[in-house]
Amino acid sequence: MQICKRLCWVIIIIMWGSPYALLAQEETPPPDYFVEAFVSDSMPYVGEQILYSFRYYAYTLPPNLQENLPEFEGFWLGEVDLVGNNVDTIQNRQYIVGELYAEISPLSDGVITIPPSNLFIPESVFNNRVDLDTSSVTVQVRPLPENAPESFNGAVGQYTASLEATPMSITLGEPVTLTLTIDGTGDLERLLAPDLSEIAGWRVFANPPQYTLSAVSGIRLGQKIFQWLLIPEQSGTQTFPSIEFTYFDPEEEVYKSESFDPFTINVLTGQDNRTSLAERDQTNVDTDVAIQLLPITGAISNETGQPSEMFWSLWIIAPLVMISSGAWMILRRYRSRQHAKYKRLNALRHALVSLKGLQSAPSVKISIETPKVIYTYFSDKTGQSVGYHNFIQLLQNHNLPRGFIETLDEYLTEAAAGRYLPANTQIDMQPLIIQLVSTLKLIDEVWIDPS
Amino acid sequence: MIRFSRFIPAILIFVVFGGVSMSQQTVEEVISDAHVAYDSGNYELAASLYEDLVNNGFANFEIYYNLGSAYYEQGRLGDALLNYRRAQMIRPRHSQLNTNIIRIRSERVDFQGDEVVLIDRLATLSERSFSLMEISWAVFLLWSLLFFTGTVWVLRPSWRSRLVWPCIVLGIVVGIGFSLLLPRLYTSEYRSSAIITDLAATVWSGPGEHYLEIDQIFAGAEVRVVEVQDGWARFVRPSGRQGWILQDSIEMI
Repeated sequence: MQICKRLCWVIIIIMWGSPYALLAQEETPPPDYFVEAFVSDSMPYVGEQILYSFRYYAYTLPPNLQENLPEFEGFWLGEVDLVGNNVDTIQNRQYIVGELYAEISPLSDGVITIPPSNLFIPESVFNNRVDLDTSSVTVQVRPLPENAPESFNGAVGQYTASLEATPMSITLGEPVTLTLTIDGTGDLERLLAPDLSEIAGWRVFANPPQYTLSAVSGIRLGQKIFQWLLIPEQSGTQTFPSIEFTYFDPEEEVYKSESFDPFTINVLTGQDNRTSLAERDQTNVDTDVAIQLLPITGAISNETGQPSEMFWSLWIIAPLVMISSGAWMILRRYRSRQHAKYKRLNALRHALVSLKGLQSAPSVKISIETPKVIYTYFSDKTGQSVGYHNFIQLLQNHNLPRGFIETLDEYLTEAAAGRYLPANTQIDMQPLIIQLVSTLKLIDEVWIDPS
Repeated sequence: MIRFSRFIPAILIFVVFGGVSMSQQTVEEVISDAHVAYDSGNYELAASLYEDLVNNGFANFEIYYNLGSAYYEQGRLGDALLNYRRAQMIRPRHSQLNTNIIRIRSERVDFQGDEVVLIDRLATLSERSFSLMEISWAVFLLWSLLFFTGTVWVLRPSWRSRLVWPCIVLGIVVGIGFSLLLPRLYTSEYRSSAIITDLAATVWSGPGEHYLEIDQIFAGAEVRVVEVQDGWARFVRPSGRQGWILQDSIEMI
């Protein structure tokens, strides 16, 4: 009896290959790797999206591990993704658990078997070759109930829908954008838009739909947006008929519909008082409405929308003006410096010429002109305007020896005294000129240019 | 039944003046005849008359628009989109034109999403709102203003403290302007927008029929031509996929 029990265990382990079966044998250590595969619902409806999961348990995680999913024949294969690795402890042994899932939806009813998935690790220095298959997964696909409403076009899942039309007032020829947003769980990739192709009085142009998927707390939610451009064929208040979105809810096992009421758009006539598109339709040979031509008035020139080569040459003007201004400023500054340098180098010569001219002049004139000669000399030397008010300060700033400053101050005082002599009084100012000449010569020798 | 006798003057003008320059008066007559032909449902004649105007240098927004409409009514989506896109280069914000372009894009065989190449995306971003002329002039004026401020900076050293912020702001605005303008100029020079005008064209892996046949592309598909070689054009689809096509099957915008 005992032998029979043990034999049963071994058979179960071999056939099932489950880790838990292996762990049940206390004397057998748990394997380094094992795998399993399962579906979220083994009895889905046709078109219902289910998740196929392939899970592996690895004692260590080699970098060259390969997961191979089967061909999902008989299913529409949606997104395939890898859930991040977790750690799990089984019989006091830690495993790294990896999970791959695939979104699949059966295309027909009946029994469909999904072949095994495979985990393969090539042999390396650190580990032996591992080649493990899961068991096959059998899915019993149920057909959809037969009482489907007319508006049902294959949507299976749990959805909510919203509809928006903008703007609600347009000029004839302009489009209204109609947006149908569907949120929920299901095969959004294959979800079809409600049929709006034949709406009397409207021309309908569908934009390519967009869909996004996201996982919230393990539940996969998605959104699909359908958009149409609606162009009314006549002006006035135009009504767009109701829209119905029908889907089969596999949880409640019923067909559900979301209906949107008809809406009206205020269509204004164009400014050019064009006949309505519908009127043109009647006059045309074609059943389709021809596009309205634009009136062409006035002289026609060749418009390309491209600027001419002449235009590009204008771009150089502004930088050229700035560069020219900069160059002019630099030149002006250079000339100014050159002029100041010339004046500085020739300051003594000019002063001596002026003083020589004063030698035969009356004493009053000498008294008046001598300070001017001094101020001009220092103006030329310093490049700054020099006068009675800043004379001493300026010489101090240029570190002229104090003795020279005092001597010059004395000359200025003497010259000032000469200016206020009684009329027809002559004093000899020649010594002043001679002393000034020698003083200026001495100053010129010791003068240090700040530059 | 369309009476062709109505179009004899236009056809005569087309024959006599085809290939030679037209006077303004002739142009007005051709436009009038093209309108009449279009309204009568003779879209082929209308298109050929508008095409003749374009070939003679009389091309403006309205003529490109009407030419595109004449091609559209013939079911020639590629030629229609080509001329609408040419019109869009002149007036990118014309609502009726943009509606027609959306219409053709929804009707063509090839589904084309947004462009994946960054420079193409930048160029397309501004193409929808501004013509190259508008952007060029706007950036030119800002550029001139920046350099005018710079000139004042140079000439009036005493004003420099007051000119710091205007210079910074203008510099940033000019930078933004260039980031819109330069991709447009680059793509117009090296990645020209083009439209497939053949109803269906084979895409090859190289410039010749001995190369691998990789795909088919259909009228109205919008691509960018990056190379032309011996009657073959290498193009890039918005998705970034490339291929070679006979140059006769494709028309630059």
